[in-house]
Amino acid sequence: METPDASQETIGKWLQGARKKDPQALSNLCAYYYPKILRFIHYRVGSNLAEDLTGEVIVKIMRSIDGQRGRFEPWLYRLARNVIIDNVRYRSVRPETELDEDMSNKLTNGKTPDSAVGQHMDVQTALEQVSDEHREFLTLKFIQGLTNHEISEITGQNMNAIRAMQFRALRAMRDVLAPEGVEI
Amino acid sequence: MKSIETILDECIDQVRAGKSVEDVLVKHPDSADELRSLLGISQNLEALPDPSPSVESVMLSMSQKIIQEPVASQKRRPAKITIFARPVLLRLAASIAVISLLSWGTAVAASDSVPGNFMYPVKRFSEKVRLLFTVNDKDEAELRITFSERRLSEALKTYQQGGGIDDGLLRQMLDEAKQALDQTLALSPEERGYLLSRVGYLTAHQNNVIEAVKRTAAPEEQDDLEPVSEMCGKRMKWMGQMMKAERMIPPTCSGCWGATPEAGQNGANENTERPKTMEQWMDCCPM
Repeated sequence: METPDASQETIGKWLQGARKKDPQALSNLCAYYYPKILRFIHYRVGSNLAEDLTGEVIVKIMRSIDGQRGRFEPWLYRLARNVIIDNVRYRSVRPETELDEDMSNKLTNGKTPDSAVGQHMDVQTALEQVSDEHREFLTLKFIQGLTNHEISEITGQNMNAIRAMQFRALRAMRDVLAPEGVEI
Repeated sequence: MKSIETILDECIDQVRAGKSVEDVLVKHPDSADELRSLLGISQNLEALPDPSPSVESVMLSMSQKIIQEPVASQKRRPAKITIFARPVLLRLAASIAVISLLSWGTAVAASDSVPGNFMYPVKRFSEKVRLLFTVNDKDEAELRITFSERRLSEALKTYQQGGGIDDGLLRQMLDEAKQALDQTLALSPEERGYLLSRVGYLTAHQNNVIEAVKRTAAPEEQDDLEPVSEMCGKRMKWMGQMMKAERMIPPTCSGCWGATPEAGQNGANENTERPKTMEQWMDCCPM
């Protein structure tokens, strides 16, 4: 599932139409951004809730797009963040936990160091173990590929805070991965 | 002297720009080991695959949320007939809506579809979405009138294609018109008068069409059409009485208002006490 190609001009036209609640423009806009939202939520909350919450984000876009002003993507990510934060189920099934023995086993089970798939699984599992704050940053920066400036627009943090968060978040990942000897 | 956080950030930018990790680290021998591990992790994160969940599930979730959050006016008066009332239809609609959404909005192609067509659930789904977009009662009333017209059009097409009389569609036609009437309660007298007049013409037109179909239909099909025809007649009479009582001008339509059957038990006929408010009139709308 890949995000379809579209020029900035095309996206701008869709956005203009969507703000006037033109169904065709809104449909195009949602179709374009849907994979991005799904990827963001998937790596934030896991696969079980990703589809459900992505649907919720799209419905919220539909309901509030007419009042959207300013840059669209930061607005979209803020919307997705709020959906995640508001989701009670997410908080109840994903309490912040320290890495326990079971989790450590999970990191090593079936690990095939030479396999890219195995490494992805380890990194993904480690991502689930870091704090929610760190996971959010890592998802925005490295999985969604946003710049520090874009992240600043979404989270409201200044550049220094973002650079500090980046350092701490990557170190937290390393702390989870390093004991298992994953080649990083 | 730069902080480690700033150095790491600059290294990440350089690696993103195409430099190798080792090239980037040449300038930072003192912190090379730490930076190498962190850059490695950042690259592994960037290489994580896209998730491949069920797209249908997302659309199902989306459609359920739309249905769970009806527009405010619908909460006031629950619909008698709910679109996608059955889970199986909901699933079907959602799955086909996926195809629609991901193929860059083919909902337009569904506009001529009738029940049984592949695209028909998309059409109904898009109607739900359009209702979600409505921001006031007047717009919703206009939409309901459009949907009522559509249901008659679909019923006619189905009939002309040899599919018989779909009385379910005709009931939905009546239900949409009733919901349009419900939306007029909160409007100004001018807007209400305009929309009531439109629903009046709509009802008269629908009755005329159904009567015309009845004349050429097989006897068993005539039996199917009779209740709908009767209901249209009752509504026309009810509307005529209501609009006169509210000092509005009923639609002028030769033969529409004079030749109607007597209002039944739900209608406000001459012998029952007349409603005094618009709410009371709406409550005795023939259903």
